[in-house]
Amino acid sequence: MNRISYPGLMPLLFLLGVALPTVSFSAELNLAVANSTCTAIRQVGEKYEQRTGIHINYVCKSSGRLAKGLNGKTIQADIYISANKKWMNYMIEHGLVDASHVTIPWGNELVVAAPASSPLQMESWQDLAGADIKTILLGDPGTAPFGRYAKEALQHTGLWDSVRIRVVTKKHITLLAETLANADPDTVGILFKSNITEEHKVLFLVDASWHSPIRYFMGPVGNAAENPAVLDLLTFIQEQESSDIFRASGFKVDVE
Amino acid sequence: MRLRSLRLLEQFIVPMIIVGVIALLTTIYSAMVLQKSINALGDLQEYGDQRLRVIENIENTLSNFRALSLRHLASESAVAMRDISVEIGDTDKKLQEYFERITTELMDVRPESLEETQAVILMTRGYVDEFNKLLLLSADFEKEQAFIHMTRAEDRYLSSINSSLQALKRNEFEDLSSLRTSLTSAVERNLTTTLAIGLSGGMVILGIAFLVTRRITKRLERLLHWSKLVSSGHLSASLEADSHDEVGLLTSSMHDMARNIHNAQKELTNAKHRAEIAAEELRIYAKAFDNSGQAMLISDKNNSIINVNSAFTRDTGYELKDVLGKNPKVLSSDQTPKETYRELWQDLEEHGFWQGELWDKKKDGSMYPKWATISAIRGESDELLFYMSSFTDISERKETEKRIEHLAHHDILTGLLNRFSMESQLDQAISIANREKQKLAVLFIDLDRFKDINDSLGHHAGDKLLIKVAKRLKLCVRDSDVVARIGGDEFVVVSTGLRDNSHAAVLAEKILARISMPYDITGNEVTISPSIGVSVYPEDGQTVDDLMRTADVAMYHSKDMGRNTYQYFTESMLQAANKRISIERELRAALVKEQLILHYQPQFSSNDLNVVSLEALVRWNHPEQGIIPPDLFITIAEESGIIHELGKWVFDEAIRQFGKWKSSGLINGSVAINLSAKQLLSKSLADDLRRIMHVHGVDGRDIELEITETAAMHDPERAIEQLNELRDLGVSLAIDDFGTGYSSLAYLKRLPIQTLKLDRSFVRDIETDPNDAEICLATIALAHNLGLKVVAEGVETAAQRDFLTRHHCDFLQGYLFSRPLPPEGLDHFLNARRSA
Repeated sequence: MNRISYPGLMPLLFLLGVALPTVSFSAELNLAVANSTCTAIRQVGEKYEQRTGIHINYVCKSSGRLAKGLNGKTIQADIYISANKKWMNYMIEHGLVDASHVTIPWGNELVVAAPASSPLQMESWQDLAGADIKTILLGDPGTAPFGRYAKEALQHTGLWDSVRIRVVTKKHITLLAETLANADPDTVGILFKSNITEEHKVLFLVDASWHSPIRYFMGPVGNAAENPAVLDLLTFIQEQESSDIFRASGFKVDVE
Repeated sequence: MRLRSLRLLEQFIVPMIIVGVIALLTTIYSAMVLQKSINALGDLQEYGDQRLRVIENIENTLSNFRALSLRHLASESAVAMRDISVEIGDTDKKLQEYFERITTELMDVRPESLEETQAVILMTRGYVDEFNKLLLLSADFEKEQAFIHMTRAEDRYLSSINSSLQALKRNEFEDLSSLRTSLTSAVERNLTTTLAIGLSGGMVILGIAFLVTRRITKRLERLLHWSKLVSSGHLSASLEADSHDEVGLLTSSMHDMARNIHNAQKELTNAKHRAEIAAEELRIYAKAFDNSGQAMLISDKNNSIINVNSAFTRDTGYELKDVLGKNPKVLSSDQTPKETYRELWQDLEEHGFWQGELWDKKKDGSMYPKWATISAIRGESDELLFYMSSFTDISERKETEKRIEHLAHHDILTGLLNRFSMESQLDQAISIANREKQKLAVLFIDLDRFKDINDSLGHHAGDKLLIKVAKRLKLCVRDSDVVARIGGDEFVVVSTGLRDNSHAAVLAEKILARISMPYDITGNEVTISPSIGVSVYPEDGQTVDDLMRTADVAMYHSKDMGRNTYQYFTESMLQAANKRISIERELRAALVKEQLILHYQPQFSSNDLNVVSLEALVRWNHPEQGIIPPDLFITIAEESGIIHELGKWVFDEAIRQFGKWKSSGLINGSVAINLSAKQLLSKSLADDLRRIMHVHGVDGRDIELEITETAAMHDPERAIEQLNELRDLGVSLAIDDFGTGYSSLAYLKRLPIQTLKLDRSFVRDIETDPNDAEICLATIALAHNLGLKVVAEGVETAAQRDFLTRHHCDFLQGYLFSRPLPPEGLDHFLNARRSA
């Protein structure tokens, strides 16, 4: 694993060659992470920086937009974390991540939430189709996995067609969480439990059997798989200390 | 018998009136038929018009449908999508309506395009169906899938629909013109019918005339037979008048005449005999004189002409009767110098003989040179009897001499004047104009893209075209005007004796129209247009050189105005031309003297408003004029080729400066450099960039190159190849001033780019123009779907910033954040941000 193959060496030498005259080489790692993990992974990253002195940059977007950006070379990263399998598969299909390096470190749960001040109550899942709720905020199912899971749940329970007209989508989860916090009282949102803040009030926990299991997929991007620093960080993210941070943020950590 | 006693006039007129009336009535009837067919064809034309309008409506509705669909796709709210769907449904319905109209109501008129129309309808229905399917996906919040479907549907249908619609339109236009043609031919046909009726009426009249005449002729024949008898001497042959019409009267008066002739005959025979004897004598002299091949003239001692021979008549056109008794002076022109005549008389006086060249006039007034030999013939006692002159026309020899002269002054190919004689004639014309207080105009004419014709059809065809152009030019001007070809495809017309300047405009218009008409060059139809520059004496110059130069400048201005036009010279043109030349010269010097500088405008991430990139913008720090913006010199740099040198300098300077900032930790993004269309075609571009990056130790990932959409579209294959080479260096690529053209989407997918720059013109009106706002949204959505980032240019207000941020535009650039700053200014800016 630590052996550096010859073709991989060439671009590395080239980069070093042109960079050396003015810029001193400093270790830096770039992470492209699903929005929902952004806060937690930054906490983990800080710990890692303190420990190793290696600086970490973060790009937080929806899993789909990250995958497309990495493929279109508009985003450069050493590690990619997706909130569903689809977009990790997309990376593997495009030769950006080697399937053998992919790990599944966490899981998550979906909740229905309202602004903290909202008087809304939910007795059952079917209340989503009731008269009290005017707007349902979802993630864009195309690129934001939490939206896909939510749609699956609504379809599984036969509710999708009756609530579809109330749906408004958001590009990624932090945007949805913010919008929801400042929304009208008759607005609810379906989002990951890990993204709930004090500005939200959880109304309902979505049954995990209604949608495909919520799993995060992590892997090194391209040549980064041969970078010892990257491998070290990947290991660190899965150590107990990191798992504790994720658990505290609302993630499920003992998954497989 | 009864008819015969009528007068001849009456025998003719009655039947002719009858036939004439019939023919007239028939003609009126056929004119009415003609009117009807004209009306019918007029109706057809109106239908054609309507169809054209329907096709245009289809086009508009389709583009509306597409815009609405894009809005649907970009929408995040189910309610909003429902509203848009209603609008889409309406558009869809409208489209169906147009299709029905074009197939049922109007198709009767033009069944042959049914197939094409149905193909368009089928394709469009296919396109609309695909869209309706993807709109279902969109409504189901499967935007990702919907976008993929849309890209596919556009690839599959859009360009063929557009070209089919264009073809239909073209057909309609052709239809209209063929309708016009059939209208004309219908008129012609009816006209022919009318003519035929008229003609056959005429024929009938002629027939009647023939019959009547034939009867008369028979009687006249009898008369003729009788007159033959009379003329052969039977003057007493009998003849009887058989009727009282004109023929009868003639018969009786001829009978009287025969008698009189008989009496005169004897007298005549005698006279004839006498004349023949006299003529015999004369004939002997005349033969000797006449048979001489050389023109001869005899004048008496008083120098009055007494005879000339047939060679004289042949050469001069004068017959003897024209000149008999006249002094030979009548033959002379005033071209022969007086001294020649003095010498002639002196020689005749002293030696009785002279020979030399005289310039005489022919009867038709034309002058010609002749070689004359004159002898004074004297009698035995030396008294002068007469003068005998003989001469030869030497104009042919003169002609050859003149031809050599012509070649020296004319263009061999076209026969027009050459530059040398044009200039000398212009010089003379200037003197005349000066003396007469008149104006004159110089028109400098250059054929647009003549080289293309030479290249595509060969020099031979090019020469033929020049000859034809020269002929047409000749037809445009007055005889007194000068037309010259002064080289290649350049012509000059000098129009003299003008009272005001407007005449030159009329002439230029005429030349534009004539020259621009198509030419047939060995079976190919060729069209060419001229660009004309006009200068007027005395305002625009008082010497040949000045007038030619100002006309030349005006001609170049015409080229700049888009060719196929004319321009009067103005002082400002000269200033512009001089300024351009001086800018070009100064710009070359500026590169050496390091007067060019770069300003940098930061781009900001819309999320956290961090600086992510610096766009390098070139400025010219002119020692006298201060800072000159790039739009005033980049075009000149491109046209003069300086752009390559300048582009390299910009690369070097921007990358050097950026490397400095990066290593000092002031900035952590990239530098964006603009690439001109010319640079994009340069073969050494990638190598140059690689070398410069290496020198300053800057990585490809830190560099972004911006090209305009038009530059990339100019030669797409070459652009893709070049851009891929640049991508291999690790640099990222952006499309500048991106708009939403139909062709863009499919093409965009092939370009190895990472960023779209939303043109400032869309950004400017985001708040006020819903269309521009929609274009921004759709562009952002499209770009994101293709995995591209979007930079909005020209962000000037907080409202624009908020709108763009709300709709996930990735980066923002504009005066709201920072104007382009000089390096030291940017230092301050970055430091201030860092400490804040």
